[in-house]
Amino acid sequence: MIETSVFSSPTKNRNTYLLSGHSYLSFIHPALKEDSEDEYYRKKYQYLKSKGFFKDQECFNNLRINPHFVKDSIVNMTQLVFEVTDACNLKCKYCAYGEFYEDYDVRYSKKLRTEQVKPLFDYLSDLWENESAESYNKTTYISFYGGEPLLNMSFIKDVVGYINSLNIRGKLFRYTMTTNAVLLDKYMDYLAKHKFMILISLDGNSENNEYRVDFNGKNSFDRIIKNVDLLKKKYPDYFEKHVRFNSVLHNKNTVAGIYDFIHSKYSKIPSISELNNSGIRADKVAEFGRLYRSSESLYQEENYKEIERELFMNAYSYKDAVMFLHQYTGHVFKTYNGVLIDKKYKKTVPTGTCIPFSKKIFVTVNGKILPCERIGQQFSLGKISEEGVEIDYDAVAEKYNKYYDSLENQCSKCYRAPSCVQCLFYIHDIGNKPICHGFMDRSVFSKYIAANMTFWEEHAEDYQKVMDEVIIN
Amino acid sequence: MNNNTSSQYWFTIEPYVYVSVGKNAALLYNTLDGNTIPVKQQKIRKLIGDLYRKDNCGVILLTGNHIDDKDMQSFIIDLRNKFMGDIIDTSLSSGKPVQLMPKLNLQTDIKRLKQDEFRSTGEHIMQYLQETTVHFDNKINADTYCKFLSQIPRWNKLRLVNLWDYEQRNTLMNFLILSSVMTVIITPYDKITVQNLSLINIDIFKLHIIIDFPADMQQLHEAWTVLSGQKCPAQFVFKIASDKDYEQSEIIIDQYNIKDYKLEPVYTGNNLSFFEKNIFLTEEDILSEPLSMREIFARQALNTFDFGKIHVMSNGDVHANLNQPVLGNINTHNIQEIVYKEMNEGKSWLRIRDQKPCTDCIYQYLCPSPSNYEIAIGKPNLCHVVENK
Repeated sequence: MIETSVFSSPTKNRNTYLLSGHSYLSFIHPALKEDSEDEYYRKKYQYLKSKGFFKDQECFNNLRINPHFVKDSIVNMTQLVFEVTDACNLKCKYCAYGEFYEDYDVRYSKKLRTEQVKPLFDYLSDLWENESAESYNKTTYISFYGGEPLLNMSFIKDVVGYINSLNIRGKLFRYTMTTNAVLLDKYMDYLAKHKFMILISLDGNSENNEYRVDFNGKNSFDRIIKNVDLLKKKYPDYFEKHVRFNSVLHNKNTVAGIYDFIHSKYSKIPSISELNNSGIRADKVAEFGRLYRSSESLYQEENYKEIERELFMNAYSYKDAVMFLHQYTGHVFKTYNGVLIDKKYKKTVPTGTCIPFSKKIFVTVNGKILPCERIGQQFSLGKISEEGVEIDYDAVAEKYNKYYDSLENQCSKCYRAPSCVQCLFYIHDIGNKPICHGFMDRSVFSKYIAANMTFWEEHAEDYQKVMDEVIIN
Repeated sequence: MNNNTSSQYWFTIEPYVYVSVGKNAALLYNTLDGNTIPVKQQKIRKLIGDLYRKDNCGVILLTGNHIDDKDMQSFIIDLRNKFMGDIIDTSLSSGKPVQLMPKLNLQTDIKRLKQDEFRSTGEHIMQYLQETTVHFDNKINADTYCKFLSQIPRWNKLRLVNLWDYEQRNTLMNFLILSSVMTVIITPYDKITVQNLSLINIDIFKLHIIIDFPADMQQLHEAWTVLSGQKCPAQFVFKIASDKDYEQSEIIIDQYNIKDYKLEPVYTGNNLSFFEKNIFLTEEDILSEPLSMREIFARQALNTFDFGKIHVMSNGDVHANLNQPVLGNINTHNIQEIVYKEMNEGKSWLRIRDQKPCTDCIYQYLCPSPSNYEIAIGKPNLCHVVENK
């Protein structure tokens, strides 16, 4: 049992807030207490108590999934991601398949073959044609990921050809790709023709980009810029609408530096990622630590407020604070059903992990099937073989439920549990004796509320903008 | 309140208070208990309006000028006594607080999705389908119905009208039993026979027995006798078009000690005065039951009567509301296409009180969603609330 109503710690402005359930978050007088010396606030406390505040609450995140969840998720998935190849024409220092990490399959410069994934297309086409989908005319994203996907262009062309030949009622497709842009000059005509949404990896200016090197250790910056400039010149409309940048934050760049360079050169606001700090090899922890730079380093910069505002939802601070607002004000609803039906006591699964395949299916170059490309490849949930697609809905549900069970003791006492965003695949020893670093007791949760409300006190004028403009998910 | 005019206060209202702004007045509505504070004075309305300015973000600094004003004092005292807002001495803070004022943010609002090139207005739409009513005669074969019904979500409630006259009903019933779809059979009381009820002796079925007036008491008694020997749960639905009908329904309810029943007003085209007397809402009616903030938001977003419901007519045409145009036909469209059309072009599921005079009224979204009666009577509002409130 946890308490439904929690007083925040004081914010930076020494204000106090009360959060209750998922639908009440209010600035309050600090004297609002059961035993307040002020009679008015004692009465107000009793009034709120009579309306359901300040009660203990059972844990509602003890739902477990069943095989239907898994199948429905596949039918309705949003993104199909192919690890087109495990080969790359760069050897970036911090690569997720590089020297720092141990949670991926050995790289053999393999390329995914069209006939290898054919069973998956048969499997999905059958589901899409015969099972009732939750959405209509919703876009399914077909995404190409690597290694460097442009090293296996024949596969990409085959997949695009196949998908374009499908005629499934109510199903739309778009193509996306994450690329280092080294081969962009060679394939930009094709990408522009098929309106690929491309995400170019670039860490800022030449000095910022020093970890993105080729096999001779040479900075890739000049080649990338030359190709990106060519793309911009040749296909200006496409470049404006379909090209984005992602930069990895490390000790050779800064949030401000990345933003300044990409915004001034290409009028784009980059997304900025921290290095993935799970799955690090034990002998590389110290070196990784030297490379790692937190997004919070932004606040050490002189003009951080302006940069943060410009980055808006590309800044971690905004993302986190908006997520908080979505979870706790009671004013945000994902769907019409949310606003129609009282879901105060709706059960959810533990942690913030996606229901398997509800967001995407990731196919590795070895034919493994995973729920996401951002998790270790040891967590595969199926595979494509010559016999076809092997996804055992029962086994997947059982595996997840076992993971959930292993966290139940912590989740049932966690104040953050009802709005958890922790992915269980980032928790060490999941399924056995995991320790969740996102766990919050009452005291930590009070500080969490204060940190978020401090953000909103400092960004008060953005509240309406966020409520009017931002769509998440 | 400290009367020392040098004191300064942060003024705010509670986020559980819904503020409705009409043409000439505003209303503060406490969603925890239904308490209200009507606001007519311009200076108080301005104060509340200022709370919503984006730079204020729900909190205003009250200075000596405000605090000395008698009307302002009276308003704040009332507000505090009803626990609907507060003033907090600024000396307790070192900087301005915020109050995240209630504002509906529906992430998949159809208008939002239409503006986003990368989103679809068809997202999650099958979640919305909650109830399908099928009206039978013998124009469509059972296989077509079964194919169509197999597309509807598991949680959907099915309502069957005029089933007993449908020749292939056995095939259909077998399909429903196999699918375990929760099914309500809408039937007039004179069709309650042992033979008909033998088809539905399974716990997925429920009867809604329609009683029109004047009722044939002999026939009704026979139906009651048949029902008494059955286990199928039943609700009686009395169609009331006049005070006389209402009186007769009361007699029947008492006579048979009916526990599960519903009174459903019927507009005949000739009984407007009955509606004005019994159905049109007064301010007291509107405020009689406290509404939660979510319920108010629901009325801002969708029609709480129609949302999630479709009707399949005997020729296969599908409507979201029988008074509105056809969305498609089950012979040519799948269920997703039909629901998609209603969400994008329909006039039923998202019909809200966004027309005058409701848009000028402080009870705009405290009022129930517009119903079929508004359409039948041809008025956008069925109330006694004075316009321009």
